[in-house]
Amino acid sequence: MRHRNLVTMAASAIAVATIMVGAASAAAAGPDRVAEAPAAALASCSGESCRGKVAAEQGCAADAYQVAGVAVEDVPPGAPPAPHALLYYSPACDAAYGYYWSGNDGDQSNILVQTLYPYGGAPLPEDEIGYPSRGRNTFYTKMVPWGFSIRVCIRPLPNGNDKCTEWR
Amino acid sequence: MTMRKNSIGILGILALLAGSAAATSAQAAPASPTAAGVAFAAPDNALGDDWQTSSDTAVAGVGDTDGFHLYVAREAAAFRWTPLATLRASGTDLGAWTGYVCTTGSGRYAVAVYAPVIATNRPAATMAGAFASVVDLATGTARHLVTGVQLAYFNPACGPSDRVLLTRAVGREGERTDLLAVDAVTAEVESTRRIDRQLTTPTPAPDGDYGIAGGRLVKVGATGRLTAVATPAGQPFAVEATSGGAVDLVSVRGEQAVAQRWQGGRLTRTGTGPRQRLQLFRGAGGNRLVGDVTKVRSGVPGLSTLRAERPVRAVSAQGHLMVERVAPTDKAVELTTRAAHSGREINGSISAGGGPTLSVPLPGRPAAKAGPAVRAGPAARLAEDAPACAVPRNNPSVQPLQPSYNMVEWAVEQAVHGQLLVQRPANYLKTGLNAYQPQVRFPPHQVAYGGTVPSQLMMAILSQETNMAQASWHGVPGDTANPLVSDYYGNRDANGNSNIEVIDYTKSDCGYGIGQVTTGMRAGETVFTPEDKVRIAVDYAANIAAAMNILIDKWNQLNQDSGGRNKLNDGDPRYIENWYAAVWAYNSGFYPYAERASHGGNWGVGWFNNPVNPRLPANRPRFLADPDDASHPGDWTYPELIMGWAETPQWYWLGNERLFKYSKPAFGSSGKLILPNIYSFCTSAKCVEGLPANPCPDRNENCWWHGETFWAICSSACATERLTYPLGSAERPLQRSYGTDCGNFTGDREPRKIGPPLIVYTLNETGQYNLGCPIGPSDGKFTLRLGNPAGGYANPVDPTWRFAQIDLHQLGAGHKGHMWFTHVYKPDYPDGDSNAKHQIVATWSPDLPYPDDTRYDIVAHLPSHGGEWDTSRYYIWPDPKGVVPKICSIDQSTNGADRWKYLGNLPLKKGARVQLKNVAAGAQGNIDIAFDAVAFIPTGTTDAQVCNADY
Repeated sequence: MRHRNLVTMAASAIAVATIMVGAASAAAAGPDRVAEAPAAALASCSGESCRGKVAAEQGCAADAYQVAGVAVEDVPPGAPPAPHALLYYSPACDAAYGYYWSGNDGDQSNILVQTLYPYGGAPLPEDEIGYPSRGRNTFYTKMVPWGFSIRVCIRPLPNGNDKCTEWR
Repeated sequence: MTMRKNSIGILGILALLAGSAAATSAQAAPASPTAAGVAFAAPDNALGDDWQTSSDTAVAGVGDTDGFHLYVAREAAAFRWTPLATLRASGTDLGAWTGYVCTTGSGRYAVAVYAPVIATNRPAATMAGAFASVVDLATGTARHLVTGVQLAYFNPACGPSDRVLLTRAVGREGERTDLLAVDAVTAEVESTRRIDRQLTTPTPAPDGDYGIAGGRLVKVGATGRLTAVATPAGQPFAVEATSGGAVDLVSVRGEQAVAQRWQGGRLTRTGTGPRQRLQLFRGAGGNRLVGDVTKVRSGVPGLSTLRAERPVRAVSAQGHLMVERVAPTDKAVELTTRAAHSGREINGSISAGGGPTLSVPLPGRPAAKAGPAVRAGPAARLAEDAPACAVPRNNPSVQPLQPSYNMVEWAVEQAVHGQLLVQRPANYLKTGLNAYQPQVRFPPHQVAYGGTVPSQLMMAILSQETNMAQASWHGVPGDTANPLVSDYYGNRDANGNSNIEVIDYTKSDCGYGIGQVTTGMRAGETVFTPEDKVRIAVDYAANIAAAMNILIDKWNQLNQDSGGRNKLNDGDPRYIENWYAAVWAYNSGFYPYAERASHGGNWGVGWFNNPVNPRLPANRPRFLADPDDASHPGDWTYPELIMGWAETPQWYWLGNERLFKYSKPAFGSSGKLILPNIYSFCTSAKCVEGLPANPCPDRNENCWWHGETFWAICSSACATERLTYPLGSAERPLQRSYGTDCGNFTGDREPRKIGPPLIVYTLNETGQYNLGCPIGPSDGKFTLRLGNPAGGYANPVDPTWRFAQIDLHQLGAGHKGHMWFTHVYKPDYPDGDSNAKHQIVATWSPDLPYPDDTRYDIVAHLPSHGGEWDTSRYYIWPDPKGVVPKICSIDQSTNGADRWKYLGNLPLKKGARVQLKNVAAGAQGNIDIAFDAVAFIPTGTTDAQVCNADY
């Protein structure tokens, strides 16, 4: 093996690690934050506890912003807004949810939120959070915790090809 | 509790190639090239007048972690050594390589057989797991010949033409042979003959192929049928044919080496010499006896002599140069060569590697073709993808610490005496487990006939098996890393190579940690509790406690077999020498008396590791008599390797200083181990020292050993353990290879900052950072997406992420002690920028607290080791709705220091992100790319730093 400058630590990493058990989520050793005004003091869930819940009902829509989007259909310039899907992220709730504008009266699609474990691994089930769309309307999916790779996909029924946002 | 030591999988040995070359993948930047070269400075004097017009050429091969390197030296260039080619296999880092090389009769080609050193831990790999390639000596162009041949000193076997023979040992103990004939010109295998015997030292002669089988010189017929033509004087270790139709051979007979020539139906003696001082090399125009040649006949056609004062590793084709030493050091190769003309010696080193690289695809079940996008249910996918091994990789709660060698020595000493009772606190190494003591959880088994395992023997086994690594060998002492798991993905071929495009969990080995504990470590097995499985995977002390029991079980198996006690010398387990047979069984198994009916009535330990087995050179000295032996461990049996490491502790380099990892044992009266000679385990009545050539000519009882054997008066002559640390003493402090970058990143070097920096760490749950650095929550999200397309949605039948995870590693390096790394791969298509099976995209998504379009310095942390890619292209997406990223390309090499580097200054909108992936044109999958923390320093409206500026 290759070795450089072996340094004997006065205290072993094991000992130090032991001291740190449970400490990380408490007092941050990093610098203080200067943030914008907290937008969502009303948030009533966070991360995993938001899973499957509706953003607006949990106070998660207030600070949410768009982090990804995709046009589901192309339309000529000047036409009404094309069908599109968006992914929203709420920092206050540490959660994300999908948005879909179907655009067409006859639209029938599945709105899917796909999630991957943050550091790789098998994909999570894709269809617990989304809805089937019916007609021309806006649709919001339920939330998933932000701590995954996430995207929104629109799958035209019965056998259309998925249109997906980028992963976030 | 029962534990099995399989045929020893494993990520073992890495044999240190002189203690240094088995570097980790996660290493710092390579050292600068060493000396300019090795060549004769005054060639007229050294080589004689005609050197400039000579066509004489020498070839040498030596391995390191980058592959098996071939070097060439031409007399017309004053025998200056230059790189010829590098041979390796495509796959994750496989540790150090070893191999053998010969030059064909035309002098145009070198043929090499090579394998990772870990192959020497696995009988199946040694017998049939090596690669063979042919290299054009003029161009260095390498072509793959065949995969799955024997790693043995006589393989490959060149001859007077460009026809070359290769062997593959077949059967559990290598009792049969495949003999492959290849044409070096076409690089094709012309024929494969199955021989129903063990055939060694083959040689392709003009009138047919010869070799040694059953102690006889045999000629191999077209169907593999053998015809015995002569009986050598002893056990041959060199057999070479000449273009004139003769076959020269040299055998060991007692302490003598006896040279003989078979020609015209007669075997005649051509000379004798000391056992280790008479060697035979084939060259241009005939064979050459080298060494102490005072008793060699002169005037034998096609047989010349060359005087040498010490054993040589290679001789140039025309005999003008002898290579006495070729040994790897840290990123260099040391050479000692001697000119035959003048006897002048030169020493020097050249940079390791160079020349064209041949990366051979590994065998294995090919990945399924991408099928129709059948949307299998998630449950079905999860079941298909469930690993067989109980403790996962790439899991933030499974990050074993790579111990330093003093810790391992301490733990072994405590363990063998039942004193490994260090108190592990709850949540040790952030595993979330309860508190425990290693040898309370894993109580030591009793050693039959009393006593304990000698500590140096256990140290030797840990050295051989894993180089004393508890965590993945990507981690150096002081790092945490993924667990060291043998064949986690079931994608290892016979010689231990991992095919990164194959996953077959049904074949996973699941040997974990420093002692490669296997049994009970599969998911669903109940030998250990789930918690204890994690302890074995994470805690080197727990692993040593469990692994020691495996060795004790082998001892007990030998000593308590229903067929009678199998005993060496006085049978006292306190003596290291008396464990020789237990170590033998530990590697290649024990056949109990009760199961003899399954083995033709035979029982005991088998033929593979019998020291008289002719797969090993009969004239070999003991392992590590020369430290360079570590670079070609295939010349020794597993018990010999273990006894070598017990006698000569494994070493490592601290600068230029070679340090032992553990102490030597307390030797007996001779000051060294008293090892059996190669005949000590002969059971044939004919097997007296020096006779016959092979005591196992047939597959009968001679091929087995059981009973009692005596070669040492242990009470005075054998070695016992020597303890370095007091029993009951505290765990030794960690000696880190690199410091840990625990310092907070304040951004204070940026005078234009308007607030504290945001830091996106590489674990979103920063409580899982386990090297002890103080750390706050991450200021954003970090993700890794594996495969292209990522996830398994697009193709559930063969999701690409499964393959990308194989070469993904977490490491306790980088900012605050955690980062990920993989290797850089080329795109699937020449004009593309993605790789389906190896692509990994890292994304840092900060939670930006300032209004949109506030400017930020973006600063990437580069780890002291684990990142080398010199054009790492960071994609900065300032606007989540935008489609055009800003790209900053930086060199991740840091010369062993932790470092921050600017990626630039940009106005960012909420949802901005930074990405880095491991796909780049020209990449070969062998350079590290690191995913470490990224910081964002708010600078308001002020543009500040530029891409690639040092922080």
